[in-house]
Order: sequence, then structure tokens, then C-alpha cells
Amino acid sequence: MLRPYSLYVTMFWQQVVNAIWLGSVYSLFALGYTLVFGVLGILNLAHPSLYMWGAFIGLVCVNTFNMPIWLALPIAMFLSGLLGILLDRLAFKPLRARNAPHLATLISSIGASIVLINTAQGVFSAQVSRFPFDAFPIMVFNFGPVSVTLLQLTILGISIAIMVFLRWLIMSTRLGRAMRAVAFNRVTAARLGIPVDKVIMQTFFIAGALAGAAGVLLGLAFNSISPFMGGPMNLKGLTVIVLGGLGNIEGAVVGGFILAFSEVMSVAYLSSDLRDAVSFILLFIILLIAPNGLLGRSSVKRA
Amino acid sequence: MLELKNVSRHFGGLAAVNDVSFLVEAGQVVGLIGPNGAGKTTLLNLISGLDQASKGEIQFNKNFVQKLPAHKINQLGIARTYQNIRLFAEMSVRENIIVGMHTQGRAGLLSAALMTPAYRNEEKWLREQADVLIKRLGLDAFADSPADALSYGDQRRVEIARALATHPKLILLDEPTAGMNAAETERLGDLILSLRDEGLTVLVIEHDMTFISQVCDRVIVLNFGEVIANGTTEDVKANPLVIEAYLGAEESHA
Amino acid sequence: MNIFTEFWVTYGSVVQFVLINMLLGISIYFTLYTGLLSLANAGFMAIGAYVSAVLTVHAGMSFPISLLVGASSAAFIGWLLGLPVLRLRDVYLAIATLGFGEIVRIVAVNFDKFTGLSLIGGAQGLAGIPKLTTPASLLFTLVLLSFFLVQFHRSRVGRALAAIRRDESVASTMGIDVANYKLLAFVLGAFVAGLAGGFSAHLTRFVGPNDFTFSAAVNILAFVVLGGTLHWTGALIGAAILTILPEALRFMGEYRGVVNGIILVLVILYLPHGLVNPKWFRRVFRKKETRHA
Repeated sequence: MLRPYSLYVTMFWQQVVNAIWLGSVYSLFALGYTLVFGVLGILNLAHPSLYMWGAFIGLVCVNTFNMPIWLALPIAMFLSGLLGILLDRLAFKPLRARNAPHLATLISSIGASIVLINTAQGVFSAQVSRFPFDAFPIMVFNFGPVSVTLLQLTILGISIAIMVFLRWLIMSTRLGRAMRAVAFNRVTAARLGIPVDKVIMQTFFIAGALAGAAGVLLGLAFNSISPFMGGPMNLKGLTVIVLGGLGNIEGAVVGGFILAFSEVMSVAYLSSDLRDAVSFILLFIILLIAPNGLLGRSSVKRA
Repeated sequence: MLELKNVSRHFGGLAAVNDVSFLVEAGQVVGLIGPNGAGKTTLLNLISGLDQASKGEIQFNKNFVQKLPAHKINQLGIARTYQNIRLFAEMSVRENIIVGMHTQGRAGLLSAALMTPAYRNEEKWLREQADVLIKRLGLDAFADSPADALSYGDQRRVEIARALATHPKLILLDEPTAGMNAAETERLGDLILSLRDEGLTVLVIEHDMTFISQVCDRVIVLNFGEVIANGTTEDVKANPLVIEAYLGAEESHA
Repeated sequence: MNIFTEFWVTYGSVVQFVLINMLLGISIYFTLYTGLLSLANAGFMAIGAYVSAVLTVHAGMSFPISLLVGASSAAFIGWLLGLPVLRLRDVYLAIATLGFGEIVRIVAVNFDKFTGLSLIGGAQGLAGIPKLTTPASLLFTLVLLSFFLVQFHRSRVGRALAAIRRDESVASTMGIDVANYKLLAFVLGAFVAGLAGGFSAHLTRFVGPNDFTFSAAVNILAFVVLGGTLHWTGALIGAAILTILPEALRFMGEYRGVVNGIILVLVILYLPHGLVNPKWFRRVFRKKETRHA
């Protein structure tokens, strides 16, 4: 169906706007994923489950405790962070103690994700839940032909704020330096007097909080929360972190936007069925051409 | 038999091996010595195919092997042992050697699954050949023990047996006497000489100069990735560059 | 009705699911034996299921043939996938194979739409598949595979794969074409997973894209992790336990799956090689020997 050229142009800018806020949330999710890999060298396949639980915690805060969303978000982040620490203590720490191969940690994270998903299934039922209609004020801004909701702007703003904070944390604080040292070499870091265990705990807290934030924000944006929402997100998250380079913080951000743009553009110009396909097409291309990612691995170490 | 021409291996800006050229003639035992970090193991990696040279040519008999994958290089006739012993840990000594015989067999999965006579005969023959090697290397006592239960010296002999199982024409030994006592070292020297008498060519990295004098026809000296001497053991020992290289190394360790 | 028929009426399908899952366990065993962590087997199972179902339903093929064609299709796709993917290192291989599972699901959902055919029913799946799977055929296949597995371990190829798992570089310097052999193990696993898929489709009479998700792939891995990675019988035992357990725990309702996850974590933490450990057998046999000495 041919449309007037001007419509294509405005559609394009609308898609750009869509891609920007979507990309920011993808980045948020991927950051936690890549952070754990960067500092600990492990791929935590239970990360999407933390994201899902963050969304549910936010939901419970709003629905059951009637909290406003601006209170539910930090609470969900905090509790997801704690969940991340719990995950590490139970599923990963014993493996570190006996220097188990990475394969074991991967499998352990898989087992943990099974537990998390099925528990959510039991507690919240398998149906799709939603935030109440008025959880977030509905406001639309029009910049010329492009429209943006207040929700989308807020999500973009919060994501960027979190990412800026994270960068400051890693670059300029003592914790950040400690994390980088642990990422480089755990044994050496310990000898230098760094409390490695505490640093690892804090890393998992941050990663969990990031996942929880992404969960609440995306849950709000798409208004669809279910115990299985981690699944599709998992593949997208993996695509993003492989795109950007495993362990690479900037890469997670770059990858997030690349994925969002690709998805939004293919849905708009090709077919909406392709949206899920986009992630794995990108994933395979990158794995075959540049498996270390566009920006190379582990900026956490090199920073 | 083996000729290296201007072989270099760069890691970023650093040259682990720099413009190395030498010739190993068939039936010789050639020693490769030099201070630690001189690039000897890297050179072995390049020859055996575990690493790829950045520049230069490696010619083995009539073939240029510098770009070939390791398994093809072995099939052409080069086998090796490792500085820090890489045996298949949970497998027995015998099993390690039988794995080494892989290229000597032909039977595929189908014949194994159907237990064809060809398969059964081949398995018998493989085991017999492995036993020959076990006997020759004096490993009878622990043929069925797990490989990692042996002493260092014994493990090195297993590695050599395993490398010999691939029926090589050239064998690369990386510090084979490390961890051996004087008696074992001498026995190893005799073994190498008898292998040479059977037509095998040997390139051996070593630090033990007595051993080198005992077995090697020629010695190549490497320092900082470059060849600084190439001649008989006597010539090399008297070479001032060589003495300086080792003295320099000693000083930095002092 | 005697006890046997009564048992069969109630538990017949569980038994057959156990047998199918044993096949799946074996399919992952091949790849793990070579040191590869592949999560693609749910995808291969899907291919086997869909292809054999389409052939039986739409082309009227006989079951054994459609089963074999389905498994061979899975093997072929496994070969295509393995060529580029097997040279990736562990973590990347796991990610790529995870991605493959998703591709299969998406293709299954969109195939009819894109081709304009009405073969596999898109998101709703394909129903009405004739129930052609019998316990006898499953058992027969398993017995055949068991013979194959025993000989596999005593073959040149089996030894090469074991060497590759332990030390790939060293194996290559012994003349073993590592890339090719990894591909062989991968394709073998794909074939067996495809068989399992064909059997499953003709047992549940239905095949749909959501049967073969990440969870499915992970569950298959759990069979071998629990049962034991050191001996092939571990795959069978793990499959049996993890299939029967959720049935036994029906009273837990939606929480049943939690137990599977907990078991997986506990096993990895405290029994890293799984339940079946040949060393225990050897100890038992050695004790018997000393008594006779």
C-alpha cells in the first residue's frame, strides 16, 4: 500500500522516538546481565527471572499496597537487588568456593531460573497481570508529527539517570574500582586487601536492582506481566550483551539501542511478526562475524 | 626434513619469535635451548600447528605447514609433548596411548556399532601396538592406572609414548627431563638415541646441558625470540653470545 | 483387569514419556560427552516432531518412515547449524544454541503464514496426529540405542570425542580433526532428539511451537546433569526421575516445577557429576576381588 512520502518520513521519526525509549530499557536490562559477566565471568541465566520478579513486586506494591508508582519502583529495585544477592549466595557462591568450571555456574543459574519462574507461577498464577489503568498519568506530548507519552519520557529519563549513576559508580567510586579489580583477577584483588565477597555481593545487588527496574518500567510500558515474560527478554538481553561485548558496560548501552532500532524499524517497515526474529538474526550475525562484540569484551576490566 | 624460514610470531607489538630460520635434517637429534621466555615453546606451538606464525614459512618434507591445522600437521608426521604435561587425566595410561593411535585406525562409528570383523581386528591390533609402546617405555607396571596417579617422570614417559603412537617422523619434546631423576634422565637419553637409530627425527627443548650433550647432534640457541647460535654442542657452549645470554639470565635471577 | 493392565491404564503415558525423555537425555549426552554445552536439542526435537507429523498427517506416510525422515531432517539442520556455531567457545555456543531454539519456535509460528500453506497450524499447532507411538517401538529404539552407546564408547570415534572433551588442543595434535568430530557428535544428538520429537508428536497427538521453548531445552539438560555425566546410563536415570517426579508431586500444583529447579541446583552444588558415578561401581567390584584373592 503506497502512502504519501511525507507520511513515511513522519513515521520514521516516530519510530526513532519509539526506539530511543525502548533502547534505554533494553540497555538497563542488559547492563545488569553484562555487569555480572564482567566482574565474575559468569553468564547468569537467571537474570531475566529477576527482571520478572521486579515487575511482579512493583505490581504488588501498586495493586495490593496502593503505593504510587514512584514509590513502587525503588522498592521493586531494592527487593530485586536483595533477590540477586540471595541468588548468588545460594546458587553461585558454593561453586566459587570450589573453583567449579563455568559450565557448572551456567547450569546452576538455569536451575535457579526454573525455581524463580515456577515459584512465580505458583504465587501469581500463569495468567497475564496488568498495572491498573491509572498507575501512571496518561499524557501525550506532540512534537510536530511525532507523539510521545509521558510514560515513555519518564522511562527514558529514569533509564538514563540510572545509567549515568552506574557509570559514575564504576568509574569514580571506591566500589567501582574494587569491582574492576575483582573483574581483572579475583585472587590478586583479595591479596590487595579488597573485600572480594562484599564486592561480589554488591555487584549482584546492583545487577538485580537494574533488572527489577527494567521489569517495572517495561511492565508499565507494555502493560503485560507474567511469570514467562523473562523468556523473550532473555534472548534480547543475550543479543544486546553479545552485540556490545560480554562484560562491556558501554557495549550494553550501544547494543540496547541497536536492538531497539532494528526491532522498531523492522516492525514498522517489514512485518510485525519479524520483531522476535530480529534479535536472533542480529545475534547470529554478530556471533559469526565478531563474537567478541562490537566494542570488545569486558570494559569493566579495562576501564 | 624441517625447515624454518624467517618465522616470526607477534603478540601485539611484542615479537615472541623473531625471524627464526634453521634446518633440521632427517635422522638428527636437535636440541633447542635458551633462557626462560626465549620463545622455545612458542616455536614448538608454531611447528605443531597450535599457533600460527605471523610471518615466514615452515616446511616439513615437501609441505608448507605454517597455515595448516594441527591435526593435518600431525597426520603429515609431526608429534609433540608438552612442557606442563597434558595427559588425559582420568583415562588410564593405556587409554591415553590408544587415543594416540587414532590416526592409525580406520574404523568408523558404523563398523564399531555393527561390530564388524574389520573393527574387531583393528581394535585388537591397536591394543597390541599400544602394548608394544608400553613395554618400550617401561610403563607395564601402571598401564591400567589413571594417568594422573603417576609420578612426574612416569607421566612424561606416557606423554612420549602417546606421541609415538601417532607414528610420527618428527617428534617435538618440550623439556622431557623436568621432574626426572638422574637414572630416568639417562634412560630417556638412551631411548631418544634408539629412536633416532630407527629413523625418527627429534627436536628437544631442554635446560639440562648434560642431557643435551648426551643426545643432541646439534643445538640451536634461542634468546628473546631470535636464533643466536646453531651448531654442535661444543661450538655452542663456547659461543660468547650464548654465554652472555645465560649469564644475563642468571643476573636477572640473582 | 489384572494389576498390570490397571497400572498401564493409569500410568501408561507416563511410562512412554519416560522413554521419550530417555531418548532426549541420550541426545544431550552425545554433545556433553564431547564437551559441548548445547541447548539446541529442544529445537531439534521440534523439527523431528513437525516433519514427521506433517508427513503422517498430510502425506499419509507410514510411521517408521516419517519418524526416520523427521529425525534425519533434524540431523541435517543440526549439521547446518553446527558448521558455523561449533567453533564458538562454550558460553557463546550456549547462547547460540539457545537462540536456535527460539528460531525454530518463530519459524513454527510463522511458517504457514509465510508460505501460504496450511501445514502446521501456526501458533495453534498441529492437532489430530494419529497415535502411532507404542511402548514397544519406544523400547525397541531405546534398546538399539543402548547397544549403539556401548559400542560407541569402545570405538575409535568415541575415544576421540572423549579426548576432545578433555583437551581439545592436545587431541588435535594427535591427528584428530576436532571440528569434524564435534560436528558428528552434534548431528548424532540432533538425530536422536528428532526421533524423540517424532515419537512425542505421535503420542500426544499434538505438536505446537510452545512445547519446545527454552524451558524444554533446559529440562533436557537437567536429565543428564542429575542422572550423571560420567556414564550414559545417567541420562536414562535422570530422565526417569525428572519425568516421574512431577507426576508424583501433582499435589503441589503449579509449584511442581520448583522441585526440578531445586534438584538441578543441589546436584550441581553437591554432586557435580550427577548420580551415576562409575567410580562407585569400581570400588564395589574391587572389594569383591580382594575377598577372592
